Amino acid sequence: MPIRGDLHFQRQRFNAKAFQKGNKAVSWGLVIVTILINAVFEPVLRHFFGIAASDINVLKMLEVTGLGVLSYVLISFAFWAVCKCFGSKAAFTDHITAWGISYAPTAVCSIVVALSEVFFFIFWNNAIWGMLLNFVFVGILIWKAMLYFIYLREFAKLRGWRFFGACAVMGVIILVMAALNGYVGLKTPVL
Amino acid sequence: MKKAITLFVAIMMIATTLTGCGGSDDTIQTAFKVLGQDGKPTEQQKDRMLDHILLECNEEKAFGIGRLKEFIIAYPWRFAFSASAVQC
Repeated sequence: MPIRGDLHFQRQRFNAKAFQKGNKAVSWGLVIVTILINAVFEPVLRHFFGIAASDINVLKMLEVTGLGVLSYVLISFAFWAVCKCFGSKAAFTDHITAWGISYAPTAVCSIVVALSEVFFFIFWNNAIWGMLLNFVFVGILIWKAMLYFIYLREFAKLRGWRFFGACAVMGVIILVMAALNGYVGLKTPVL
Repeated sequence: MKKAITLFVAIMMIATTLTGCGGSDDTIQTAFKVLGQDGKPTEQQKDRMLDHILLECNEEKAFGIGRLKEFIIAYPWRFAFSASAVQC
């Protein structure tokens, strides 16, 4: 017999309830897909279709994959620590099963980044493609930002000044971690 | 699937009555019986229907600003890409 939660899930609604319930498989699935697109798909695509054919470096792939997983665990830890300081009751394991649900736009972003970097000559100096890419990237950015606000509000249950405080602190942490991600070779930050 | 079976039975019935061959009273009666059984939803289907109705009721109640808020929270990607399209 289907229960109500299942129905919600069947309809694929990406709402606050998805965060509240959390789902280990969906979370880690989205995170791993994002990391693999960054670490494996992009180099392979570059090897076969890139202008200067680069070699496939398996060791580097493994390293980037590991760093991606580390990045996810670290950002979940940061969310837990900051939300805890601002008075949220969610445990670390809750954060790690919930935040991954927001990786849908990140996965889409990493695909678009890989394609636009390897096939840059198609998009170069092309007004229509430029407009489309602009539309996609800005849309993804707004989408992710909204998931961030919904997460802090509905999952961590922060209201008022606590919400704004957590937003500001997490914003700084995310900026720093995005820079570090880029430094170690994750072109789309796994955050 | 059930619809397909019902349709098939109905077509067979019409065919047998029209051609007047092969369709004894017995087969037509069993066909009618099958049709009657098919029309009733099972317990599981009833549960699913009730769930669906309750879900729809929950969703319909918001208006105005509440509706906008619901739209933003329930479908962030729709809102995000509409905003992105507007700024393009």
